[in-house]
Amino acid sequence: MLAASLALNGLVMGSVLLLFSLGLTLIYGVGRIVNFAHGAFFSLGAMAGIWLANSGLPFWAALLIAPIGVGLLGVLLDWAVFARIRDRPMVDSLLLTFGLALLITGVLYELGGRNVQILAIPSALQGVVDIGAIKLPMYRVFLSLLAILLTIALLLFLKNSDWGLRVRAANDDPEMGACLGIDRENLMHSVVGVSAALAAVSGVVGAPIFTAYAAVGDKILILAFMTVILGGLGSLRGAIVAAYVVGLITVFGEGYFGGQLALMLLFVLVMAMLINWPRGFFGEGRTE
Amino acid sequence: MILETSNITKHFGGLKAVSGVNLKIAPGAIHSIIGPNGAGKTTLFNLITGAIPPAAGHVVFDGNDVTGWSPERLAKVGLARTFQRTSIFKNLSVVENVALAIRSREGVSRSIWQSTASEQAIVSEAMDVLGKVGLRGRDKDKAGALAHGYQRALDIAIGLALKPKLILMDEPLAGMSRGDRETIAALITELRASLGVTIVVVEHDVAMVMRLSDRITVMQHGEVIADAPPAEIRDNEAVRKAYLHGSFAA
Amino acid sequence: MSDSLAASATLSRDMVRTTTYALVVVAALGASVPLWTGSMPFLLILASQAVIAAIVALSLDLLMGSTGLLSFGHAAWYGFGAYLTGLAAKLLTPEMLIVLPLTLVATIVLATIIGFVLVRQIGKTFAILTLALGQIMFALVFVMSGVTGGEDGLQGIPVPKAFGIPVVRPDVWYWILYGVLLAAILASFHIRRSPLGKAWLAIRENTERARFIGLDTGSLKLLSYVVSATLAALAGGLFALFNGAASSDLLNWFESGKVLMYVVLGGVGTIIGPVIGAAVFTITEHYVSSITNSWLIYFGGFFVLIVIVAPGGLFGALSSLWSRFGASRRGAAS
Ligand SMILES: Nc1ncnc2c1ncn2[C@@H]1O[C@H](COP(=O)(O)OP(=O)(O)OP(=O)(O)O)[C@@H](O)[C@H]1O
Ligand SMILES: [Mg+2]
Repeated sequence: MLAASLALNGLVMGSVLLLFSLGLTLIYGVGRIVNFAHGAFFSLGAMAGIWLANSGLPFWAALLIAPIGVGLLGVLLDWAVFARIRDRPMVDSLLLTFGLALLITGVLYELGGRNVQILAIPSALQGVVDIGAIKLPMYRVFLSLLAILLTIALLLFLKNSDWGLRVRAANDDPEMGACLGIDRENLMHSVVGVSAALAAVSGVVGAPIFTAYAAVGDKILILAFMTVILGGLGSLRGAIVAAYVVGLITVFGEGYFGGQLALMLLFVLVMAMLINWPRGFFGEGRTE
Repeated sequence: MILETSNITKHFGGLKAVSGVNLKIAPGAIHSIIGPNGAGKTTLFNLITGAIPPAAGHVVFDGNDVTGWSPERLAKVGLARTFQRTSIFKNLSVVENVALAIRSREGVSRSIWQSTASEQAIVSEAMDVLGKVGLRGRDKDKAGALAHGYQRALDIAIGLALKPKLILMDEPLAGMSRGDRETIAALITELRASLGVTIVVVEHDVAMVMRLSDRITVMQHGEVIADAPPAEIRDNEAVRKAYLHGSFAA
Repeated sequence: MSDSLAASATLSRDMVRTTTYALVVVAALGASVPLWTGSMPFLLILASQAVIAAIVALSLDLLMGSTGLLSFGHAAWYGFGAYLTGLAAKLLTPEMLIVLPLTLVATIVLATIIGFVLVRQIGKTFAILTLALGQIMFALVFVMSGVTGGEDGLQGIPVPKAFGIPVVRPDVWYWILYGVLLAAILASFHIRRSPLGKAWLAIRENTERARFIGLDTGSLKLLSYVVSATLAALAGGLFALFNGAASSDLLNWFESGKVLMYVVLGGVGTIIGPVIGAAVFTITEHYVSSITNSWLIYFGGFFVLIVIVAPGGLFGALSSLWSRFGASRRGAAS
C-alpha cells in the first residue's frame, strides 16, 4: 500500500524533475554551460509565484506571468553576462553561473526569501483523486500532467520547429551549427530564456508542495544534477529516464529512510554507476 | 617485428576509420605511413598507443600483447608518440618539458624530495636531448613562446626523452618551412642512427617519404592498399590511383 | 622575437621577486598581529579566522592550481574536518595532537575512496559531483543529528590541549594557526617546485600529453585531491577546536563559494594570492556584513564581476599590470 502510493509520488517527483532538468540539458547542449544558477531560477519562480499571489493575482495568472518574467530575465542575463565569457575556458562558465547563483539567492533573501512560504492551491485543484485504492491529492496529479505535457510540447517543438532544428544542430556540434549560418548569439539568448522559464514553471507549480524560500531550488538542483549525470550529460532521452529513476529513488528513500538519507543513497548510487557507465544510461553522455 | 597489429579495426558510427589493418614494423626501421586526408593514419596511431580502444584486432609491441593498454603504461614500456597538432606543455620552460618526460620514467610522486645531484643529472640529460633536436640554446624559453618549427621539434624531444624503443611521429613536418623540413628529416635519420630507435612517420610529402623510409605503408579509406619498400610503392598502380594527380608524380 | 622572449624571461624573474617580497612582508606582518591587537581582542579573533580561511584557500589552490580540478564543494572537507575533530575532542580526548592526526587519517581514507571516482570524470562532471558532495556532507549532519547536534550544531567541544597543556590564550591560538599556515605555504611552494608539482602542472595544462609521456594522471590527480581535502579538513579541525563549536553552516554551499572566491580573487595557482584573497575577504566580509545584511548580494555580484573582468584574479591582474608597467619602463629606458 505504502509502496504503491510512494511509486505514484515518485512519478510526480520525477515529472517535476524532468521539467526542471530539461532546461539544464538544453543549456548544456547548446552552450556547453553547466548552469549552477538553474536552481536559483527555480527559487525565483517559486518566490515570484508568492509575490504575484500576494498581490492578488490568481494562481493561473502567476503560473503564466512568473515563467515569462524569469524567461525574460534569462535572456537579459545571457545577453548581459553569459555573452561576456562565450569563448572563455569551461572553468569560467562554471564560476560565473556559480557566482550568479549566489547573487540571485542573495537578492531573494532580501525580498522576503528568508521565511518559508507556501503557495495556496487554487480551489479547482483541491481534493483528492482515487487511483485504485490509493488517494492522490488532485494537485499532484495536475502537477505531473502539466510537467509531462510541457515536456512533450517542448520535445515536439524541438523536433518540428525551425528553432528546434537549430537547437539540435548546435547541440550536435556547435561549430557545425555556426557553419550552417546559425546566429549563435540569438540562439543562446532564446535557449537560456526557455531554460530559465522551464525552471520557473517548475518553481511555481512546485511552490504549493516544496514551499517557497530563497534557497528552495538548492535541493532540486542537486537532484537534477544527479539526473543529468545518470542520463549522460547532454542526452535528452537519458534525462527523461533518469528523472523518473531519481524521482522514485528520492521518494522511496524519503518514505523508508527519511529525506536526507535518500539524498546520500542517491549520491552513492551515482558514484557507483559512474565507475562502470561514465556516460550514463544510454552511453551518450559527452566526455569532452 | 617490434610492432605488429593484426586486423585492427575502429569504426566511428558508420565510418570505417580503420578497418582490418595488419601492420608490421621491423626493429630499427624508418617506416612511413602515407595516404590521403582521412585515410585513418592518425586513428591508427591512436589505436596503437591506447588513446582509443579498438573495436577488434590486436596490437603486439615488443613481444607483448598490449591491446587495451593505457597510453601511460605503453609509454613506460617504450612506446612514444608525437602529435599531428603539436602537443607540448606551453607554460613550462623548454627544458622542463623534456625533464618532465625524463622524470616520468622514474615515477614522480615518490620524488617530492629530490636531491640537487639527481636534479642536475636530469637537467643535463634533458639538455642532451634538446641538443639532438637543435633546441639547446632555447632551454629557458617558455615552450609556448617558441616558433612553430621549434615547437614541433620539442614535441619530438619530449618523445625521445622517454628513451623509447619505438616512436610514432604524426606529420612531424606539417606546417614547416622548406629549411625546417630538411632539418627535421635529417634529424629523423640521425636519430635512428645514433639511438637505434625505430621510427614510424606519417607524412604527406611523398618525395620526402621516398627518400627517408625503409618501408612504406599506404592507407586509403581505413585500409592498407600497399605495403612495400619505396621503389615498389613508386610503381604501384593502386597507389597511383589513390593519389590520382597528386604530388605522387614526383 | 628574441627581444620579447628576453623581456618575458625578465618579467617572470620580476614576478618571482615580487612574490618573494610579498611573502616576507605578509609573513612578518602576520606574525606580529597579537602584539598590537592587545587592546582589541575581537581583532585577534578576526585575524585568527582569516588565517583559517587562508589555510582553506590554500588547500583549494593545491587542487585547482596544480591539477586544474575545480571543486565547488570544498566546504565538504572543511566541515568534515570540523565535525570529526569536534566529536573526537568531545568523546575521546581534548589532546589536539591526537584528535587532529586522527581527523587527517580519516580524511585521507574517505577522500581517497571518493576521489577515486571523482578524478576519473571529465571536468564538468567533476565540478557537479563536488557540489553534490558538499550537499551530501551537509545532509549527513542531519542524518546523524544524534551525534552531530543537527540543527543546533555541535556544542560543547572541550578546551583543547597540546602536550597536555590547555590552549586558551587567544594569542597562543593565533600563533598556532599562523604557524600551520606558514608551514602549509612553504610546503606548497616546495611541492610546486618538486617533480610532483611539475607533473601536476603538466596535467593541468595538457592532460593528454601527460598521459603519453607515461604520467599516471589518474593517481596524480587523486593524490592532489587527497592532499587538498586533507589540508581543508585540518583547517576545519583547527576551527572547531578554536571556536569550541561547529555548525552545519560550515557545510553550506555558500561556504564552498567563499573558498572558491578566495582562490579566484587571489589568482588560481599563485599559492600566495589565494592566501591574501582569503585574508582580505574575511576581514571585508566582517565589516561589510556589520553594516548591511545583504552581504550575499555583494558577494555574488562581486564574484560575477571578477570572473568577467579579471579571470586571473586580482593578484594576477595586478602582477600583469606590474609587469606591463615594468616593461614600459624598460622600453622607455632603452
Ligand atoms: N573521434 C572521432 N569521431 C568521429 N570520427 C572520427 C574521429 N576521429 C577521426 N574520425 C574520422 O575518421 C577518419 C580518419 O581520420 P584520421 O584522423 O585518422 O585521418 P588521417 O589519415 O590522419 O587524416 P589527415 O591526413 O587529415 O590527418 C576521418 O574521416 C575522420 O573524420
Ligand atoms: Mg592525421
